[in-house]
Amino acid sequence: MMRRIMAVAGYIFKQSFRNRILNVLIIFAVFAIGFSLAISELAQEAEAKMVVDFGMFSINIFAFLTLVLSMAVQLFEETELKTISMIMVKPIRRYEYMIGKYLGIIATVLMNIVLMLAVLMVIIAFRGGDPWDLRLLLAALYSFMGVSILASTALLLSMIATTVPGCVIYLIFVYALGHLTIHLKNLAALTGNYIVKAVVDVIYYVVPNMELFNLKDKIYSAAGLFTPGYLGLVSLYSVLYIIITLTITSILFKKKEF
Amino acid sequence: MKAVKTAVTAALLAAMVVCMCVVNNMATQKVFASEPSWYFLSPHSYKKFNQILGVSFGYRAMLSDFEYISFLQYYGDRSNADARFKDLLARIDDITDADPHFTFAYTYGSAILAFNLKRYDEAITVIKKGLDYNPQFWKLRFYLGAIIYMQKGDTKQYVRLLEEALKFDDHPAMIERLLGNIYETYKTPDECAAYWAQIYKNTKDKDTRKHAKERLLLLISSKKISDPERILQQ
Repeated sequence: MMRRIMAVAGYIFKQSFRNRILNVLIIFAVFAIGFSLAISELAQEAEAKMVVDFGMFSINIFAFLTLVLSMAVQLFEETELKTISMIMVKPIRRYEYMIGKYLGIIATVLMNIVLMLAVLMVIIAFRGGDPWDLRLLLAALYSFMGVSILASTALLLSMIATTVPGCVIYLIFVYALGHLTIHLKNLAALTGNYIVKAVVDVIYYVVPNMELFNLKDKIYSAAGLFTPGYLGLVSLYSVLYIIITLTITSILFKKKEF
Repeated sequence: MKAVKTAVTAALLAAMVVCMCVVNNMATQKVFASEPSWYFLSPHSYKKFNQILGVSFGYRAMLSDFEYISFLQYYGDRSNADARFKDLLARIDDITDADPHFTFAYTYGSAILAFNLKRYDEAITVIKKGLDYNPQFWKLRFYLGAIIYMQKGDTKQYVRLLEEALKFDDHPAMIERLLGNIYETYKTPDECAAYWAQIYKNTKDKDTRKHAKERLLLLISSKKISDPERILQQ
């Protein structure tokens, strides 16, 4: 089973790197992080913070864009070029294909994040900062976890959305809403309206809580979010969320007709 | 057999969903406990669209950096000096609303308000906001003390606190210039020259290094220093 899953993952990974748009995106990402060096010149006396914040934002947003593009490319090939039909006639179970596809996509994202982080670390060292700061590395790791959760959600959305643009739009919507859920929960508590609270609770539990993974905004904070307790909870949350969404996706995929 | 398998899968899935909801809640409570109430969007947040956008796309810290650049440009624009930089406090609020962890904005902003513009109450407001959210950032208490002593006209006490603040690596460079200027009012030219030479050597700020060099050259050219060679060697 693992061999078949890894074969699909390897195929998706190679396919992503064959794609020119993704390659251009990687080049853009590296340039964007390099640009932090230039823009930090404007932030007198806070240059190091600016480099880290801009660099981490670039890592996060380009990792998300890599996911969006990978998904779009995969969906286009499956639905428009009908490559899925060719794969389905091979001796592979549908859930194996789905897990392989997921692993291939997140391997592409991980590759991008590692590359971008390496560039950022060089820039931080050049600026006289500590490139091996544990908080920076953890923030990058949790950014990856956040995108991994989104990748599983994207696969689920691809089962529901019938077109490529539809899936991409849903995904961007989930990304923004995922960052807002924690704030919505706070707002709902302030209103004291039970209907609002109930609606917000549904959104809060269904949409991935992206703000939990947003450690990049707290690198300079003394607040206790870089504790083993919190990091453990967030890791557990991401594992559970990914397993649940992939299971549901596999069930839907099994019932799908091509 | 198939029905049993389906039931087991459904039960497992349900158990995982419950666990996920509990874990999500526990992690969220930790986030709530670590942030002040104003960190989260409120019914008034619509007034700051940038902030909503920053929150939605997870770039709050970077947004505060851009607000900081905007604040520097506002303060650097001499045309705003006529109005005595009246929006300065609001701009510091914009930075710290976007990122309450940006401790340098509290120290730098309050130092400008108190020591340059003599707006002590506004400076104290900034420091208190910083302390409310960053009580463990004890350096802010030094600034608070220095500002209060300055407000009372107790130069000796506030110079002592500024000297303490100077020992921290992350002090704003304006503290270095401020102390030098105060020293020039009551210390000997030799002591002042030694101070400026130290600043020239150690400051991280280009403008302050330039300022220290100018002050040093002025002191040397005024021929009030007993041993200019030694200062230059330093």
